[in-house]
Amino acid sequence: MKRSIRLALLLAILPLALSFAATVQAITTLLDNDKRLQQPVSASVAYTSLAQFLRTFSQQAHVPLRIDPKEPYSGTEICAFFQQQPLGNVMKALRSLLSYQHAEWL
Amino acid sequence: MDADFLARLHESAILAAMTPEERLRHLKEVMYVCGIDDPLFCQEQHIDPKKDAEYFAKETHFFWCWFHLIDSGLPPDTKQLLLSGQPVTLSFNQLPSDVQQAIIWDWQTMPDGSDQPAWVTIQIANDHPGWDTTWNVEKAIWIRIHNSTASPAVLHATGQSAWRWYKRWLLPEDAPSDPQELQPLPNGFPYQPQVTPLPPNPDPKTLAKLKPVTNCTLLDRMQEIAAKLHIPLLATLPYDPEQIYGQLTLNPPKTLADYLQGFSTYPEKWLYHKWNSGLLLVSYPRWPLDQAASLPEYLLQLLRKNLQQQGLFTLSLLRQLFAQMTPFQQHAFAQRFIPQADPQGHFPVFLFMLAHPELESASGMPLTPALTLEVENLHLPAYSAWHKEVFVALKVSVFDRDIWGRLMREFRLVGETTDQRWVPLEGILTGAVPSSFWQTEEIPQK
Repeated sequence: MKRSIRLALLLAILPLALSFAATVQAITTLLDNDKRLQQPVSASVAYTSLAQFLRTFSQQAHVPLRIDPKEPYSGTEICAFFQQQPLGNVMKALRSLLSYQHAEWL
Repeated sequence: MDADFLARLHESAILAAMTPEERLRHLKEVMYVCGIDDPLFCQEQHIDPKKDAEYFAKETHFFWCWFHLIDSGLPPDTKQLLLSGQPVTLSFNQLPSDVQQAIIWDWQTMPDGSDQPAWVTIQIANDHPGWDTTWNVEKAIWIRIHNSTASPAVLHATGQSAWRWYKRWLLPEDAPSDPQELQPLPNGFPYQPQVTPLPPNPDPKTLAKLKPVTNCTLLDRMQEIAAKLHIPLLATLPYDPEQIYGQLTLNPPKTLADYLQGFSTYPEKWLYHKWNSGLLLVSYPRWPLDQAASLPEYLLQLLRKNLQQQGLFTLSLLRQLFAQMTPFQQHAFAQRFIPQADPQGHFPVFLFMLAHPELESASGMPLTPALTLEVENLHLPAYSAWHKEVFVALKVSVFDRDIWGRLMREFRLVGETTDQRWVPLEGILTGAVPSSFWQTEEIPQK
């Protein structure tokens, strides 16, 4: 009995899961194809706040990137040293830097 | 006493301020971040996740109640004795009930632990107090539990091992390493500072230029990787890395992988790294709630602006800010802003703190550099704020002296500690202490 309930539940959830995976894939493709995110940016900063970090790239790439300065994470301090990296790669790396498994920074 | 230990003491104070529900929630978060609920981790270690989680919860409780006892459950004299590394023996019946329960729990797991414990001896040390061998463990509270018949049981309460953090940090899309790490390093990398002895009688005016550079900061090291090896690098680093990572006692590394591995020789300050989108990412183990302790940018800007304009934070500003901060943010504030030097090389030190005997005894006396370092690294502001205790404003003056051909840096405390009163800070910086300095202000309620 329990097994059939589980199966029914799985069948009910499966389309949602597939739909979610497709949405994530679509967003990833969209971001990969966005030329604005392929613009090169550079940084040589020590202990700069995340908010300032984003402002710098926003100015360099003319892409609006911001975080509310009252948001606690806005003060997270970043050290960055790189030249001419695609903005999209930097943003992906930044997300990874500030995330833990199952606690990803979105 | 060191900064790490005090930080943990501070964390225990945070726990002490929590309600039981908050503490349980925090405990679950710690377990989550440490990977206790991770099936893969449990499988690798051949452990039962439920039993391990239960054990971990009890161990954490054990850790907490001992820190809490030392923090606020002992007379000042006893506390001073403990913080100076001396053993203290306490009767079991005098201990708080939570400590008693924790002892009984551990005692019952001992082979000879059938009888009721009679007394306990506690000591703060890096290694097992009775043994000559070095365990290389972090600073811990060592606890010897005695009764009338069995030999004493020895336990120690420390933090968690660091490596589990890395596992949580590695996202599915990350690469743990990169072929660039295996390339041979160019000559001259990493930079090895050369220590040049000072001349016998150096000119005071040029003394500063002659000071030997004996170490590089962690930030320098990261910058060097990016500049010399042309590797794009993104990092979150501990704020005061020079004190922590000062001297890298590494064998000459052959590859970047060797070099990065060398940073893992600091057990509590392990640097870990991974790769994502062609960038080298570097971070360090932090307390699970470290992210929650981040100070918002507007607050950082306000603090920096105040520091630049006045050199010190006014008491009213601090009160205003602390009222807005969570305890975790107060902790972050302490870590970030306590060591700040003004252009004259003076170090204003702000301490909201309990009446700590080690500082009272230092008031007005020359301090050794080691002690001053400890003073600068104290992590106590939030801690004291809860206890509604004394606000202490200290200023440390620095003097460089040539003693027997060696440059010695001497520190002196300028200003006064006060007892059971809040004082304004403005007069301390200029040296002109206003009369209001001595006027008692109402201690703000939490």
